[in-house]
Order: sequence, then structure tokens, then C-alpha cells
Amino acid sequence: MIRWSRVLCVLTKDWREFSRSGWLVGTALALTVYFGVVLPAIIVFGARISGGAVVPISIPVRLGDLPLPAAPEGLDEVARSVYAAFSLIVPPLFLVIPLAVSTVMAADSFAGERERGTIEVLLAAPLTERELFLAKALASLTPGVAASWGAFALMALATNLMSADMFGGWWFPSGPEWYVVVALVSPLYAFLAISLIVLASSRARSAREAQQASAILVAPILAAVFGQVLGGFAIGLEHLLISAAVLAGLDAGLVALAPGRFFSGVRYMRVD
Amino acid sequence: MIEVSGLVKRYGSVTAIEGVTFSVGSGEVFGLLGPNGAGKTTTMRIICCVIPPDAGSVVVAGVDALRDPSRAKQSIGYLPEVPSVYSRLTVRENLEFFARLYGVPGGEAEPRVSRLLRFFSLEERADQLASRLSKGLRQRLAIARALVHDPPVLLLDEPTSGLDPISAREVRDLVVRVAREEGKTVLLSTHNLFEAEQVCDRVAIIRRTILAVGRPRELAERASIRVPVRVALANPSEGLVRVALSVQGVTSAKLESGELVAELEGDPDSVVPELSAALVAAGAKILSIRRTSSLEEAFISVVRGGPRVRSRSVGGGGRGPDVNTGTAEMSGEGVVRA
Repeated sequence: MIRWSRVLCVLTKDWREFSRSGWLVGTALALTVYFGVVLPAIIVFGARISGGAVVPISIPVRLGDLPLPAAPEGLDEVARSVYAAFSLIVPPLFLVIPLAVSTVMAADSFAGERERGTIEVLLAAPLTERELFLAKALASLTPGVAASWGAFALMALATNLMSADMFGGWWFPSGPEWYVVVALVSPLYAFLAISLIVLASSRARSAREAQQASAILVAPILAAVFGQVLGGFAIGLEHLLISAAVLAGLDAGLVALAPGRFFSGVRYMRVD
Repeated sequence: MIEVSGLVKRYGSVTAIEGVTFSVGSGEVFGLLGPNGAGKTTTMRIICCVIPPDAGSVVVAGVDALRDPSRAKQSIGYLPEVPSVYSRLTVRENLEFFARLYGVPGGEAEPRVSRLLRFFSLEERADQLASRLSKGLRQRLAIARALVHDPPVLLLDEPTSGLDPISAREVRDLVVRVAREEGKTVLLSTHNLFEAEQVCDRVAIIRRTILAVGRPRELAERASIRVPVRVALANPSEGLVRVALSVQGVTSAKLESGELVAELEGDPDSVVPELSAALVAAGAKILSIRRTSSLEEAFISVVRGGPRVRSRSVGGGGRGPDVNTGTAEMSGEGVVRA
């Protein structure tokens, strides 16, 4: 049986610690502002200035030429380009927010406590491994999810304000895919990253070293972006739902594996 | 209060401890004394349920720690060797966090935290981040943290390790105060013989297994240890050697590089004053008197497998005589300035 009062106690302690670290708060804020305001501005004004070519010139594709399911009728080239960027490029990139924020937090929470030696007193406290893992995983996940939701709200506001004239009104989010990405895929992806960090933290000597374990998760994001931009495939709603199901399965598997590995690694980190 | 029986722990092919058995009585300050790698920390970590043993049993405050670790943990305040406070929390927040974690009711937590801040003289720093504390103050906070849920048992792993002499003395004073004023049972591990002699009612010498248990003075007596004393003299002479030899308890004396080197038998605390008084009466100008701790001699003898010191009883003892806190911090060597 999980004692939620103790889970909440560790979770709020971790949040308080995160909030006092300039590096952690700075990472979360910078990513939120970048994805919420800077990226939409680059896309919208880039499209306006270039007449629709928002991708680098070396790639011989105009985004507006890509097949866009559910694109509104009658859009001009610039609007089609903006629409394509927010439908094909930004959704996979959006996963970077919870991925980056949660991995920084998880590395600090798991490997950091081990590095600083404070994990020892938590292991000696009346707290089960499950409760401790749950508290720390949730403490790491929630800032990442909050940052991505904040960035999504900012992005919706900024994008609509900057491009309403092209679409004849507010148009973003462009489809239900966005809600699946923000509400389902990105938290599950962040949780996968946290589990990898926890696994790495059982052996890593520092929080930074543990953080590197999640770098591998950037590869699928890049593959999704370039695959779509270069016309190899288009990710639709059904693909996102399947991805969410696969991620949920992977998360469940790692939840079964990671805490045991981590706590075993921590308990036997030294022999006197 | 603590009953440890037949503990065995192996890390792969390495046996860290084997058949460790001892008990600590209620209100006692008990020292686990051993060289580095002797198994002190492993024993501590097993008692506070951080790692399970391969064999043996641990009972803390009447609770089987291996069967019901959650209840046993509630009775233990643990100070690991590495300073264990959260540097991004304030002093008060550190204490409040652990009070909540151990389930101290809301109404009780605040007065208890305030009392501990007073007891450990941390009131003025209560709202300072722990990262801003000196190492000595951080160690004070860590001990306060271990006491915040009012456990009957306190486990301190090398509590003065890495501290400067003044901070180490403060921590030793606090440990004695906590045991005497708060009535806690204290199990502390150390390789500092001076500390063990000054703070502990009883000590167990450990090297993978328990080699000897007893009061520090008893161990020395049982090992028939002769304690060497070096008296630095401004006017060394053979006459003063003869004076030294006439003092009861002095078994041998000679001059060595301007110092009078004597060996004492029995309680050095009573022989040394008599020796110095006799020397002064004979016109000696004493610059300093230096003696190694009798416990140190016993320790070296036991660990090296010299005269075997058998414990008369491995059971819990009552409180020993009042202890003083010393001033010297030199791995078991006491210095008496004349």
C-alpha cells in the first residue's frame, strides 16, 4: 500500500529544491519561452519574409508543397508553409520540452541525491522503495509536463496573434494531433526519459553523467522531423495513438526494472 | 535497546563482516571502534535497514529490524558518514521535511523543530540555506535532523570525520549531551581512539568480527597494557629517572633525547599526576607530559592479534561513569601541558 502523505512529502521537498536551483529553473523557463514565443515567431516571420520557404535553402522542398491532410482550403503559399511547419515540424520538436526539463530534474533528483550522499538518509527513513521512486519520478515529471503545457498555451497565443491575418482568424492548434502530442505522447516520452535516467543513475557518478543516458531519445524526434520534411512519411492521429500505446508499454516495463536497479546500485555503492 | 546477533555480510567474494554480535543497553553510548574497512559502516547500515545482512538478526527497541524494517526505522535516528543535509533547503526546512517524513504530527513538529534549533544553537541560522553553513554547523544540523522524530536510538557513523578539532570537540560534546540530557541510546562508529575513550561508555573493537567489548579502561587493563609516558624536561638527569622509578605504578624509566620515558601500569589517570608531582618536588622543570591513550595500546594489541582481550560480557551495560570531553585531536594521543 502506498502512503501518499510520504510520497507527497518527498515530492514537495524535491520541488522546493528544484525551485532554488537557477540552472533547473532557467532550463525550464528558457525552453518554455523558446517554444512558446521564439519558435512561432521564427516560423511565422520567416515564412512572411521568404515567401513560404521556412526550411533551409539546401533542402529542395517548400513546406507548402508537402501533402497536408486537413489543411484549410484557400490558403496562400505563405499560410500553407506556416500551417505545414506547425503540423509537421513543431509537434515532434515539442517533445524536447518535457524531455529536457524532466531529464535535468530526474538527474538531479536521483543521481544528484546519490552524488551528494543524501539518498542514504532517505533509504534509512520509513519509506518503501516504491514510494521513494514514485515521489521522485512524479517530482521530475510534473515540471516537464507543466513547462510543455505552458509552452503550448504560449505558442497558441503567440502563433494566433502573429498569423491570424493569414488564416482569417485564430486557427492554432491545427488539429486533434496537437492535443494527443501535448496530453499523451509528451508526458509518456518524458517518463521514458526519466526511467532511463533512473537506470543510468544506479551507476553514474554524477547527475551530469546520468543525464547523458537520455540523449538517445533525441534520435526519434529528429527522425520524425526529417522524415516528414523530406516527404518520407507523414505522422497522423492514428500514428500518434499507436506511439502513445508503445510508449506506455515501454514505460511500464522500465518502471518494473528501473527502481530495483537504482536502489540496488545505491545500496551497494560502497563497501567499507 | 540494540541486539545484534551473528551478522554476516558478503559483497561478492569479499566478506565484510562475519558473526558480528553485540548489544547496547538503554541510554548507553556504545562505540564501534575499528580501522578503515573493518565493517563499521556495513554494520551500521544493516542496523538501520539500508542493506540486508546475509545472515544474523537485529532487534532495535524490541522490533525485529529484518522482519519489520518500517517500524524499526521509526525508532532510529541515523547520521551517515557523508554529511546528509539538503543544501538547497534552509536549516528549518531540513528539520521540517524529516519531521513530516517520519510522520511527526503537525502540532508536534513545530515545537520540536524549535527545541532542536535551540538545543543545537542553530536558532540564528534557522532561515539560512544549509549550503551556507560551515562543515561543523552542517554536522550539528545533521545530528538535529536525526533526532527530529525523537527516536530512542541514535546511530552515528564517524560523526567527527573531516571536522576541524574545534568542530569535532563540539560534536563530541553534543553527542554526550544528547545521550545524557535526552536519554538516547547512541551507537557510534569511529576510528578515533581518543574520541571513543572520551565519549563512549563501552566500546567494541571490530575487524570483520567483534574482537573485544568492554569499557575503554577495562580493555586496557585486561590486555595488561603498559602505557608509555614521555616527559619533556628542561633539566633531564639520571636523578630524575630514579625519582620516577620510585613512584608506584611506574614500571620502567629512562632518558631518551632529553625526555624521560616511563612505562605505567594500572590507571594512568592516577599515576601521571603522582609522577609529575614527584618530579616537580625533586626539582624537575617539566615542559610537557605526553602519553598515548591506554585504549590505543589495547586497540593496537587486539587488532594486531597481541594479548587477547576477551570480553567478560557482550551484553548491554548500564551507564558508565561521567565522561569528560578532551581537548586533543590526534588519533588517540592525549597531551597534558605542564
